[in-house]
Amino acid sequence: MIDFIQNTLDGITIGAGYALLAIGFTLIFGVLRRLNLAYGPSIMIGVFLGTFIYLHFDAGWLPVAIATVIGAILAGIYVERMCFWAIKEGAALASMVSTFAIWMQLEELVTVIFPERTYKFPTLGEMDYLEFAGLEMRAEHLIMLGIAVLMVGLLHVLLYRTRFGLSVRAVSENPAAARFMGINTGRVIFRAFILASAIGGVAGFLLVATDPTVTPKFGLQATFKGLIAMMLGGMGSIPGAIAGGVLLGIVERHMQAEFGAIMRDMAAYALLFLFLIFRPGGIMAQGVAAREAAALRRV
Amino acid sequence: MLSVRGLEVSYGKIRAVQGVDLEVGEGEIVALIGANGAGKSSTLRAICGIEKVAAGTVSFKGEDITNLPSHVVLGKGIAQVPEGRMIFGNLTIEENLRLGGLRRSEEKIDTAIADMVDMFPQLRDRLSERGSALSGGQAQMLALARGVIARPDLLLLDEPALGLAPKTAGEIFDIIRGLRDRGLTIALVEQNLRQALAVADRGYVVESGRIVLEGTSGDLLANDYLHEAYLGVKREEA
Repeated sequence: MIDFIQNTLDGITIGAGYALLAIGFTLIFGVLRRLNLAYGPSIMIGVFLGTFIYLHFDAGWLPVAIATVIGAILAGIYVERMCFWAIKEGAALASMVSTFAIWMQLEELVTVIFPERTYKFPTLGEMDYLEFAGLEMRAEHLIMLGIAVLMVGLLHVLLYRTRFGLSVRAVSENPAAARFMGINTGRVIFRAFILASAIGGVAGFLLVATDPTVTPKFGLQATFKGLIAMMLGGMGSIPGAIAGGVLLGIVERHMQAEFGAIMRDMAAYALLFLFLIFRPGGIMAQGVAAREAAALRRV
Repeated sequence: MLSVRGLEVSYGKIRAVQGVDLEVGEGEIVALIGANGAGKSSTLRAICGIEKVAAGTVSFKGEDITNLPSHVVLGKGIAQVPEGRMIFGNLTIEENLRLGGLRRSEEKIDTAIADMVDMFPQLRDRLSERGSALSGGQAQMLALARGVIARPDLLLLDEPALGLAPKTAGEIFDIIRGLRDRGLTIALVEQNLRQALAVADRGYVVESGRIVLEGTSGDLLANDYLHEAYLGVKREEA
C-alpha cells in the first residue's frame, strides 16, 4: 500500500509539470481552435537558451530559468507569426502542418548548435529527500508542485479577475462574437500565445531541472506529454488540462514502477487511445460541450 | 451621423451588397427591411468593420471609417447587437455585460450595469448565472443591454426579434423605442415590415443587395408594392 501511495505522490508531482504543459497547449487551442505542434519545440528553444547561459556563463538556476522563459516566449512569437498570424482563419490544417514544419526546423537548429546527445542543466540546488510517514519526496519535486500550483492560481486570477482574462475567455468561446464586442482578437491571441509560451517555459525549466540533463528530443517529449495531457482533460479546458496532466503523471509512474521505464510512455499512449475511444471529449470537455449544446437550444 | 455611399460587399464571386446608399441622422431610428439574403446584415456588418467593404465608403460623424477594424469602429461610437444575439453561454450574465463595456473604466461599467438592470429588470437577479441559462427573449435583452453599455452614439440592431414569440418581440420593440427616447440613434435590420416601420422614423427596402425603396415609415407603409411583396396582401385588404 505504501508503494502505491508513494507512486501516486510521485505521479502527482511529475503530473504537475505535465499539467503546466497542457495548460499552455489548451490556452493556444482555446483562442485559436488550432493545434500548435511546435509548442514543445519552442519550449525546447527556451531550455537550450538556458543551457547555453549555464554552460558559457556558469549561471545559477535563476538566470537559467529566466533565460528559459524568455527563449520560450521568443520562439513562441516566431511560431505565432509564421504559423497562425500569417496563415488566415479557416486554414486550420495548413496551420497545423506549418507548426510541424517549424517543429522540425527548431529541432534541426538545436541539433546543429548543440551536437552532443545530452547536456547538463542546473538543478534547483543540492536537496535531500523529505520523509514523512514512511513516504519519501524529492524536494525538487515538491518545489515543482508548489510552483505549478502557484502558476495555476495566478493564471486563474488573470483569467477570471482581469479584462485581459475576460477577453481571452470570450475569444475562446466565440471569436466572431468577441469581434462584435470590439475586442481586438488578433492582439488577444498574440498575448495568449505569449502567456502560453511563458507557462511552457516555466514547465520546461522545472521538468528539466528535476532531471538535470537535456537533449534535443525534449521538444518531442514536451509536445507529446502536453498534448496527451490536454486531450485527456478535454481540449480547451484549463481544469481539464490540470486533471489530464496529473492523471498522466500518476498512470506513468505506476506503470513505470510495475513494468519498468519502457512501459511509461507506452502507458501514456494507451491511456490516450482509451480516452479517444470511450471518452473522446476528455475528462472535462464533455460538460462544456453539453452546456454549449444547451445554450444553442435555448438561444 | 452615418453616411454610406456605393457600398459593395462580396463573398467570393457572390456580390451580397451592390451599391447601397443610406443615411442615418442623429436621434433617428432607421430600418433596413428585406427578405432573408437581401444583403441587410452584410450592410450592417460592413459598417461596423466585421465584413470587408469591396467598394464604396462609410463615414461616421464626417470621418471616413471604411474598412477600419471592428474594435476601432466601436471606439468611434458604433456598437452592433448581432443577429442571433451571440451571447457567451459559458460566461456569466454580468461578464457578458462587462464585455460590452470593455473600453470603459471599471467604475463606469459598475454604474452602467446598475443602470442596465434597472432598464432590464429580468436580468437583475441573474447576474451570476451563465448566459446559456437565459431564454431567447432574455438573451435578446442581454444582447441589447450589452450593446447599450458600450455607450455608443449609433447602435446597429440585426434582427432583434428573430425567433421570438410575438409578445416578447413586442417587448423588445418597446425597449428599442425607449432607447431612442434616451437619445440613442439606431439602425435596425428587420424582415418584419410592420414591426420595423412601427418603430422606425424612416426605412430602406433592400432586395438582392440593392436599395429598391426608401422613405418615411408612413410612406413605406402606404406603398402598394411593399404590401403585396412583404405582407402578401393588397393594401385595401390589409
